[in-house]
Amino acid sequence: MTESFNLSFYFTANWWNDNPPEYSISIDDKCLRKEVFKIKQEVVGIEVPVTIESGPHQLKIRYENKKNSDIYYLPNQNILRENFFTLIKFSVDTVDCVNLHKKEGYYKRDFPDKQGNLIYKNNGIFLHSGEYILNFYSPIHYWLLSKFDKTY
Amino acid sequence: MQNLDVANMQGMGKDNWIKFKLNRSYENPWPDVEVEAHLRPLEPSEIVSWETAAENVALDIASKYDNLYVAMSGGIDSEFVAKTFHKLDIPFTPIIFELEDVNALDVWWAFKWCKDNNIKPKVVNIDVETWIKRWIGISIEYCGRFGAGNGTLSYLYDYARENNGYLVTGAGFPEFFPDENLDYMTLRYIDTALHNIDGTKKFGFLIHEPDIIQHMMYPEMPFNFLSWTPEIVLSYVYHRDMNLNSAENKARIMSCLPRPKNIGIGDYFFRNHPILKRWLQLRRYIGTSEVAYIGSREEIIKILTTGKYD
Repeated sequence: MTESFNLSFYFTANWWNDNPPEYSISIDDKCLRKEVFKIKQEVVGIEVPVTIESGPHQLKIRYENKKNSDIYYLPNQNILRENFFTLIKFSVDTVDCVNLHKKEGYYKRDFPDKQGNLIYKNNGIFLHSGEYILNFYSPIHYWLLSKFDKTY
Repeated sequence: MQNLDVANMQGMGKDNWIKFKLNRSYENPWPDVEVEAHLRPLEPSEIVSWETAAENVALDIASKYDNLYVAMSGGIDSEFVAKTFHKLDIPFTPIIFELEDVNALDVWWAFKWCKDNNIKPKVVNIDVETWIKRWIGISIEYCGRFGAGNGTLSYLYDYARENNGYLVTGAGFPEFFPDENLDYMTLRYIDTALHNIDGTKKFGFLIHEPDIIQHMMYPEMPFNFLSWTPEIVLSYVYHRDMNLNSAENKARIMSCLPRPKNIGIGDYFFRNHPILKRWLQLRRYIGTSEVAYIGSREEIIKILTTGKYD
């Protein structure tokens, strides 16, 4: 059975050079939207209509264009500043999911960090080249109900 | 629906005569019928006065269960239950749920009845945030569109269980639709169990989803005084004045003062509490019905007076 719903995302972004973050939103491997941030430090909302079949799915939000030149290193190799964006919250139709994306999703880097880690528990911040992944199932509102106590 | 399928369902009431099933689940989110209830009397019933039917219920429950508690919400239904036991000198403990002071105006009636009849109630007082999380947990577990009533009563059921007792309530009452008390089932959403495909309303009686969920949670409790026997259901359905609304009928038939209900936990509270607001938005997408339709007045009278059902 097919269902349709709207996903709404609220982001902020910050960048210090001429390479503002670009991101894409996909369900499974189908890209639904690609955007580039235009305004720094303001909350930007986008709505993405989705139609999917019943069963398991993945929401993916990918940081598309992070480069090494987006990171400003001090002489001691500490990072002074770098480009990033933040997912503040998302909604399914009118239902505010609050911080469910932090409790349920994870971030998968394209390259491991110095400790060899590829997977991060997500805190909503997109710092590294990679993608946020949230596993859910359709019907999505039933999935939300099953997770509702994680939104307190 | 095969009769064997119905016979194998869980039941409520004396001899489990009302068979029921909650079909909506995470595994089956869009069943054809979300909430089922079937009247399966074991034998024909006579049409008797409401008082006689109620006394027979009280005597039957008292013969099978001891250490009775009666949940008193301040509403007419539960006051009538308490009044019936009291009239027959059947011992019981009134138990009243206090949600801080949120429902004080509702339970005022319950405290008044206890005081007027010189009976000391047991009071269970729960804070709002704990209560909210309890009943949302029930909604999550049972994939339910309801929560508040089950959450409230769950504290009283738990108390009765912990004290080796049995809780009787005014829940499980077969309500008539359409009725101004149930207008929201047409105005706020279209309950698919109560409307035909063309959108016209059905005219008949229903049992609410929370009644079914609470009996799934506490199957040993004789909770449904007002539908305990075919006889009491028949008596209400037969004597209900179809020119009056349900509140007027209840006040008249049960000889209790009419009163507004749930004025302590009104819509405003639900719409503005940060957690409840979101749950209210979400529950609209969970299923399409909150009731089991059990039949028209004529159908119910026929089933219960003949003891026969299709």
